[in-house]
Parts: sequence; structure tokens; C-alpha cells
Amino acid sequence: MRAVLYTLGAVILVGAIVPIFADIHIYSVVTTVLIWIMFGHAWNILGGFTGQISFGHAMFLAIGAYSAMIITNHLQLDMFLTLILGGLFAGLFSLPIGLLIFRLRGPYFGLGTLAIAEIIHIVGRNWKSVTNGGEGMMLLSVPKFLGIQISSKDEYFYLALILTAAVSLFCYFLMKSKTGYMFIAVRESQESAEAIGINTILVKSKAFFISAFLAGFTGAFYGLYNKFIDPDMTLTVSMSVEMIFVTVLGGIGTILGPVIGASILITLQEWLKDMDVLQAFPSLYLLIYGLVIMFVIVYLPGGIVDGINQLKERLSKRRRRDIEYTQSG
Amino acid sequence: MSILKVDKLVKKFGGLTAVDQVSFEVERGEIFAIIGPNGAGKTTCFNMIAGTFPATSGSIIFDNQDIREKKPHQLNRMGLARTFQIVKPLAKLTVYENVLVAGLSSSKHLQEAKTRAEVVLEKIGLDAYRDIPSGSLSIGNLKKLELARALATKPKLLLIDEPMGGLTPAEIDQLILLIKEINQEGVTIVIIEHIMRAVMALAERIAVLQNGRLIALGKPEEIVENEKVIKAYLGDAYARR
Amino acid sequence: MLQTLFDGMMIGGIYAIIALGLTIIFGVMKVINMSHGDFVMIGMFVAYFLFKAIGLDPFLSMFVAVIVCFFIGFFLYKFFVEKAKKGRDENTLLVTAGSSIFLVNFMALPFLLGPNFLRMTGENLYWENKLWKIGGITFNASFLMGFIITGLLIVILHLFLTRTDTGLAIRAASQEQMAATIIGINVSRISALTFGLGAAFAGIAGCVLATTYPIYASIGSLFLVKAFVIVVLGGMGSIPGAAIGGLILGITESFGATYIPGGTGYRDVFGLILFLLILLYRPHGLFGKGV
Ligand SMILES: Nc1ncnc2c1ncn2[C@@H]1O[C@H](COP(=O)(O)OP(=O)(O)O)[C@@H](O)[C@H]1O
Ligand SMILES: [Mg+2]
Repeated sequence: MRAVLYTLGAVILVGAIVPIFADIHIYSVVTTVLIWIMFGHAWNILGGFTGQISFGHAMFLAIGAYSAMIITNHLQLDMFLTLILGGLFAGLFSLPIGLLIFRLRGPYFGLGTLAIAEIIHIVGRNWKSVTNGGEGMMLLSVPKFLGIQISSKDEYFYLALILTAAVSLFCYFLMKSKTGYMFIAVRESQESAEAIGINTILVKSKAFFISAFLAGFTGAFYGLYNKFIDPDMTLTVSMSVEMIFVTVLGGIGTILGPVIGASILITLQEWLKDMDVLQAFPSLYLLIYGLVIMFVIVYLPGGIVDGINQLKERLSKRRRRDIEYTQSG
Repeated sequence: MSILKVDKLVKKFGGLTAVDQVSFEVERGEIFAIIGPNGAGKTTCFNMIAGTFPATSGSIIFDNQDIREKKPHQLNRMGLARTFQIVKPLAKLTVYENVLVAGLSSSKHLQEAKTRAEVVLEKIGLDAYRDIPSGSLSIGNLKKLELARALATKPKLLLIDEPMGGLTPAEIDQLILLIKEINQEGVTIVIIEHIMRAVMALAERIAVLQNGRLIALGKPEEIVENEKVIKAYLGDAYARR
Repeated sequence: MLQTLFDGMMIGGIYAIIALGLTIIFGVMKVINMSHGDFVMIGMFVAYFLFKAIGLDPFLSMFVAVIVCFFIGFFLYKFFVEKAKKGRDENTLLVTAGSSIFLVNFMALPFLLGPNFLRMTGENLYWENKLWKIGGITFNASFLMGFIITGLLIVILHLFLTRTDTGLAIRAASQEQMAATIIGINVSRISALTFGLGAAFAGIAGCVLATTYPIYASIGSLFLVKAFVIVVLGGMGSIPGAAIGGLILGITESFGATYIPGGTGYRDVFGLILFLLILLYRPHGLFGKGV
């Protein structure tokens, strides 16, 4: 219940502070952060909690994004339903893929997902009748979320805030549940998990489904928010890798990880992008970004969450020592 | 009525025949030991029974069912639990969480598994280490944790693979008592062990494997007198004497 | 028909050089270098730069590219990959994915490659669109040279691994790291050397490809994917496997693009499907031992 209160507090805080600036740019940065928090959660369910490192989650993002655009343009369904459908399509797509590649372990699983995502990428580029190929797809009508029209930056911001809170809480409670514990058991040792009666293929499929659902759901929102999508924005390896990075930077296998990671990484990106020096050298911010990633993985492999925990532990140890010292001295 | 019946079991790894035509039966409620030199094929037998990999040929009947095609998790749900010789803790989880997770698939909901974890920890004597990450336990406690996890799955038949290796004599005595206690509560036990003191204290019957073959099977007092067994363990010189 | 076959073999030979680099790295330290393709790009850039600056022939620039790529690879390993190896399995994947972003965007700086698609052209460039006709078959001259170089490299690599102390140490380290440490091999140094060597191979391929492919910062990912396919095809860590796998991929692509209608758009899909199938059903490669 504390988690619900904290989340509620964070939502109220962010929801109250951001509008003070009344700045389109800030709305868009924060909304982007929120979107990446959700993508991070999505990847984290499979990669962080279940230990199956996917390098291909962009395909689920894309399935969500393309289906949301098509549904909204042609059927004008309610946005809530559209997002759910986007997630559902991605989730259903994950099932046969899981059956195919769950026999691969460790880095081979990563390569397998990478290969499948690349195949989808090429298909997405060439299947013009559905995706409109490399030219991309425009949003042609204004969606309504449970009857409320969503179109301006601030409307998208509030919606993103609510969805992010909902997704975060969902992941939190999922990981406190029986299913969540089973995910972790599979991550720690598949052999042990089997030996204690856990059907690892079934558990991995569940994790994959939920993970793909969330990626598709968020991808659907991402597509509508951008009002335009093309293969480069949705299907590239860099989108998959970005989901990994926000999670790893924050703390892989923790609920707070994607929240912290996306907040820092996306803000950093947007900030670097805006710096005058960097305007002249557009690749410089990505260069710095790459370096940050390398340093974090090497020197802070548990991410920021773990770093903070270690710091806390060290402080509390020192305090304990101080107490002992005063008592004895 | 036997709970486990293994008949003409064979396992080949490429050219190597690790288990060769091994047959034995384990009676309900007994403690059955498998001994033999390193590499004799003992763990390989466990792996086939527990479904880790299929047998090359032969049959395995557990609880009146042919289980050759079953997966490890299905066998566990049928009441067959095992521990690993090379311990495989869920290293990032605490001792308590390890046991909790082990109880999940036999529990209807999380609360039931939690209660069960408490009971098992207390019984195994790991409650003092409850909140320690299992990765940082001593080898003795890791072996106990293996046992605790297996127990949390509510087994009818428990396969224990070399639980005593690396333990102090005092810990060994403790573990002998513990295993007897588990057995007295109605769990049939098959144990692989090198430490003869423990085997003699526990086993009602002993099977001896050498180079994948079953060379002797019988009561402990018969086994210690068996020519072939003495040869296998001590070499020809002793047997001739 | 014969022409298609030889076209495939030529490009396959160059793919093989790239894959050789990836496979020796994997063989020794079980690391999949996600930035491997970027070393091809660096090789291309070195060839381009030296040609523009001093008119050096790309096949001579090769020696510079080898040194440049070797050192970048060596230090990448020393400062990052080696440390990441101590963590979870996937950390090496992630750290090299990070280094790929770094290398691509470093090379995209305006005073290096910038955002451009460069083409290596010039009056005094012998290799530009140069075709050699041998017995009715037309060869792209630089690819044929590349093919010959591949053969030479394999021989040199083989001699190096079997006849020199360092080579033997590399082989020992790839067999059993622990044992290698015990018998006094400095596994850390050997690994860094191998990483540099692998990168240098990619650099060599870059020089060969520079005269025919457009040169831009992110072209590496194209070659990375191909190298993955080949390495999985031939068996992770297998040197002859990489050579044969390269030829197979080159020929498959060449025939696929020539004979399958509409095959060009989906050209790269063939390789990827092959890759998946092998990963799933022959995880030790076509020629490696079964599961
Ligand atoms: N998965 C495996 N692959 C190949 N050989 C194996 C495998 N498992 C065991 N072996 C071999 O089978 C033989 C029996 O091993 P094992 O059953 O572990 O013996 P132990 O009686 O000591 O438990 C040994 O020679 C071992 O090397
Ligand atoms: Mg054994």
C-alpha cells in the first residue's frame, strides 16, 4: 500500500510542477521520459526479472505503434481500447516467437531476438500496403481516451503520467505475486526452477507475453503521441537497445530502475541535444551517451538503484561503528 | 508396492556409457542409498529419474506411472523432489525467499507458500539465516538449503545427492538426524553419499554402482562383506586377503 | 550462373575476414562484440582518409588500418570489456553495444566522416569500378584481391596460432581459461591481444570494401549482422567455419538476389532466417558437433 501512496504522491507532484512552466518543450521532454519509463518496465519484466535479455523489443513497440495508427485512422476506436489492442497484438505475437527461441540461453537468446526483430524490420520496410514502407504513416484523426479528446502536448502529458503510474504499479504488484516470484526463480536458475516444480517454458512465455504487451501498449501510445511513425522511429535496433539502457542505468530487475534510468537518461539526452555546442556536432550527444553507458555497465553494473543501496549500507555501517565507538569510549 | 522402479536403465554420452543396465526398486517409506566411486554414474541416474535428460533406454516407474517422457517440473508436481550435488541456490534471493519460491507450485496462493517456508526453515534449522542472500551462505548451509527447498515442494520421494560433502563431523551428525526425521514423516528417500558413516547410519538398503554397472544391492551388513564392493573400493589386493 | 557463383564467392571471402575477427574473439573469451562492424567502418575510413590525404592505395592503407583497429580493440577490451566480464553474462553485450554507439558517433563528427555518405573516387584510384576478366568470368578487382587476402590471412592466422608462443597461448586460453592461468599464461593480456586482432581483421575488410561500398558512420551494423550469421553458421569460435560460412552466405545472397523475384528488398532476410534456423537446430554450427 505504501507503493500506491508513493506513486500517487509522485503523480501529484509531477502533475502539479510541470504545468507551472507552461512550456511546450518541457511537456514534451517529460512525456518522453514517461514513455521510456513504460518501455523500460516492459523490457525489465522479461530481461530484468526473468533474466531473458532481449535485443529485439522494438518489434513489439512497432506492432503496437502501427496497429494504433491503423486502428485510429480507419476505425476511430476509443484510445483506451486502441492501446489495449496494440498491447494485445504485440503480446500474441510474442507467443510463437517465445516457443521458437526459448530454447536459446544467455547471449544466444539475445542474438535470436535481434535476428527476429531485424526480419520484422525488413518486412516493415517492404510491406508497403500495411506500413507504407519507409515513408511512414501519419495520424489522420484526433483520438479520444474514454471519451476525452487527446491532442495537445499537455493532454498527452497528463495521460502519459496516469498510464505510467498505472504501469509502474502493475509491475510492482506483479512482482509481489506468485507469478513474479516464479519469474525471478527462472532468472536465478532454470534448472533449480524446474526442480521445484516450475514449468520454465510456461513462466517464460508469461513473462514474454506481459513484457511484449506492455511494449506494444506503450508503443501504441508512442505512435499516437508522435502523430507520425516510420520504420526508423520504431523498428531499429537502437530502439531495443534504448529500452535496455534506461533499465540497466537505473537498476536492472528493480521497479525503480526504469523510473530512475529513464528520468536521467532521457533528460540527459534532451538536454545534450539542446546545448549550443552540441548543435554544431549533432553526433556528440550520442557519443557522450555511449560513453556513459559503457562506464555505467562497467563501474555500476547494478545501476543507480544498487549504487544508492550500497551507499546507504556503507553509511549505516559507519553510523553503527560510530555508536559502538561512543559506547565503548 | 514399490514407489520407484528402475529397469535396465542405460545412459550414453557419445561413446561413453555412463549408466549401463541398472535396475533397482525402492520401497515406499524406506531410505535407500546409492554408493560408488566418483564417475560411477550415480548423479546420472538421478538426472534420468528426475527428468533432467532422457534415458537412452530402459524404463522408470514412479508411483505406478511410466515417467520417461516427463519434464522435471511435472515430476516435481507428482511428488518427486531432488537436490543437486553441485548446489544451485537462487543466489540473489534470501534464504527465506528461496524456500518460499520452492513452495509456490504446490501452494494455491502466496500466503500458503509463505507459511510453509517458515515451517520448513525452522525444521531444517536455517531460520537464523532467514534474511541472508543465499549466495553468501557457507557450503554446509547451502546443502541444507537444497534440502529445505526440496522439502518445501511436499515430496513423496526425495532424491538427495551427496548432501554431506564439505560438512564438519558435527554437521554430518545433525544432517543424519534430520534426514531420519524427514523419513519418519513419510517421505521415501534415495540418497547418494560417499561418507560411509552416514550411509550406514541411514540406509536400509544400499545399491553399489561402478563404471555405470550395478555391482551389488542389499542390506548394509551384506554390502560391507561383498567381495566385489570391497574390490571396487579398496582394490584387488584387499579382496584377495 | 557461374558468374553469380563467383560473385557470391568474392563477397563471401570478404565477409569471411570480418567473421574471422568476430569468431576468434568469441573463441577465446566467449564475448560477442557488438561493435565489431564498426571496426569495418573504421577501416573504410582509414583507407578513404589516407587516399584523400596522400593518395595511398587502400591495399597499402590496410597496414595502417590494422594498427589503428588493433589498438582501439586492445584498449576497448582492457578498459571496458574485461571489467564487464566480471558481471552478468549480458554485460559484455551491453558494454560493446555502448561502444558501438560511441564509435559510430565519434566517427560521425564533422571533421571525420560527418553525416555524409562518402564515396572513394579519384583519377589515380586504380580500383574504382575496376573489373578483371578471367576466363569469361568478370571479377570486381578489389574483391578478388580481398579474396586472395582472405586466403593469405587464414594461412597466416593458422601459422600464428600453431607456430608461435603467443598463438599457442591464445589457443590454450580458448580451451580452458582456468588451466591457462595455472600454467602461467597471462589470460588478460592474451584476451586483449585477441580482441585487438579481431578488430584488426575487421579493419582489413574495411579497406577492401572501401572502394565499392559507400562510407558512412553507421554502415558497421550491416556487416555486424552478416558476421553474426556467418559465425553461427560455421560454429562460434571456429576458424575454418568462419571461412566456409562466409562463402556460403556470399553465395546464398548472390543467388537469392539474382534468381528470386523481388529478392532484392528481402535480400538480408535470407541470411537472417538461415541464422535463426541454425541457432535453433544446430547451435554448434553446420560443421561443429551436435548438441
Ligand atoms: N552431461 C554430461 N555429458 C557428458 N558426460 C557426462 C555428463 N554427465 C555425466 N557425465 C559423465 O558420466 C559419468 C558418470 O558421471 P556421474 O553420474 O556424475 O558420476 P557420479 O557417480 O560421480 O555422480 C562420468 O564419466 C561423467 O563424466
Ligand atoms: Mg555425482
